[in-house]
Amino acid sequence: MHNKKLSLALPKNRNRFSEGEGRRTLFNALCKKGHRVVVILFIWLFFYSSLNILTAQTLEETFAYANEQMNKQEYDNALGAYQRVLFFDKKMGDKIYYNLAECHFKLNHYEQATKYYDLAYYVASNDSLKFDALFHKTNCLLLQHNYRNALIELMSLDDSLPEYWQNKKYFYFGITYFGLEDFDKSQNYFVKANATQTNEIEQLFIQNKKVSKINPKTARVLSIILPGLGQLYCGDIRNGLNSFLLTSGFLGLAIYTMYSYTVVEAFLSVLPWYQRYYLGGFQGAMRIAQEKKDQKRAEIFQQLMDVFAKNK
Amino acid sequence: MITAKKKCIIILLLLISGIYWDAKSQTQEDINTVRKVLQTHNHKLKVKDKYQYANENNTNELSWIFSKLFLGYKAFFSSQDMSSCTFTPSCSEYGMLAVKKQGVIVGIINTFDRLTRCNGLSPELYEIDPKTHLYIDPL
Repeated sequence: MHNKKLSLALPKNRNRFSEGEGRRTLFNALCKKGHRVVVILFIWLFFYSSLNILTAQTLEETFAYANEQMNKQEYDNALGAYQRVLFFDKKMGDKIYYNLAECHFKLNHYEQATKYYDLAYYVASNDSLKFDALFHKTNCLLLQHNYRNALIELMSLDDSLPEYWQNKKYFYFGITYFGLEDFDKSQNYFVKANATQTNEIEQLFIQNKKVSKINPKTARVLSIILPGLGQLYCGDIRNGLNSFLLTSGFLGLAIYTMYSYTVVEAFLSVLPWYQRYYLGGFQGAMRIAQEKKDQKRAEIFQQLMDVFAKNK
Repeated sequence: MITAKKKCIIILLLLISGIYWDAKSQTQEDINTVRKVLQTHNHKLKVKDKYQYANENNTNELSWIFSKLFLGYKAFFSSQDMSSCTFTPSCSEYGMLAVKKQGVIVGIINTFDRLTRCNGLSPELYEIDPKTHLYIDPL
């Protein structure tokens, strides 16, 4: 009797009632059949398993995953996972700030890395971790060419540090003053940081004095006097000749136009071109001098780093 | 029981390791990182290397001639000029790309259109490139 009712009720319900009512009828039919316990158990199991899936990754597991990604050098993944942990539990900051800073640093996000190294410094549990965070922060500031703030960070350190950290401090002071173009102080600190190779460091700073003699303003003045002369002063013969030929060519054309036609026509047609390349010439000379100076300085800096690398 | 002699050896070894540790205040990784503070750059990059794409995808002789004219202009004229173009890519690059992509006639018309717009009088029409601070106007 029941079986007959059930087989007849289902297709009819689909047509006559809404889907929800149809489902309710099926539920009632199953319950009437004496399967109420089984159905409830099934529903309970379904929701329980869903809940389990939803809460499968606890914060500890996310943190472990982040650490694992960090070890695998998958910094993008690690960063996302650490940020998630930090979002849900701010108290884990003391474990996370440093790693977050490291992730940002490895991804070349130096501004963000500076912020997190700063936070790591304040939550560090011992001096060693504090110094480590501070030097990393200084490093980030140097990479952003923010030498003034790097100097402030270094000056916040005591003079009575353990030798390891003291050496590191001198080394970073040397770099900071080099960036600030205070080369006497830079040399002093580099010598203090590496007393074994004083001669090599001094030789490099003597070379650096020669670089300081390259003056972009002198190059500009020379090119104002004679187009191309500033470029020759910087040792750029090709650009010097190019500038000279171009400006003298336009000047010649302007004079020719003046004689062949009128002064007004020469002013209107040719002289704007002359003015353009004349101005461009001495601005270019200044730029070339600055680039040459920066290039030479960077080369000396790299050689200084080679001296320190040799010491390893 | 550790004898006094052994204790002395252990302390001595610890001290030596401490000295060695002190000497390595800057690790190789530290040095490699700070090298990036002042890096050397190759400013004297040749025009044909800088605008390598000018020599690519030349479908006919005219396109090839325009590419060479562009490289010549960049090497001998543009290099001596002030930075006067308001757009990125610059008008000369735009012209060369237009000829390559749209053919000589349409490309030249498009280039003249671009030259007439290169005056900075309609800033509201273009987005600004954050790197170069120039108006973005791609082909």
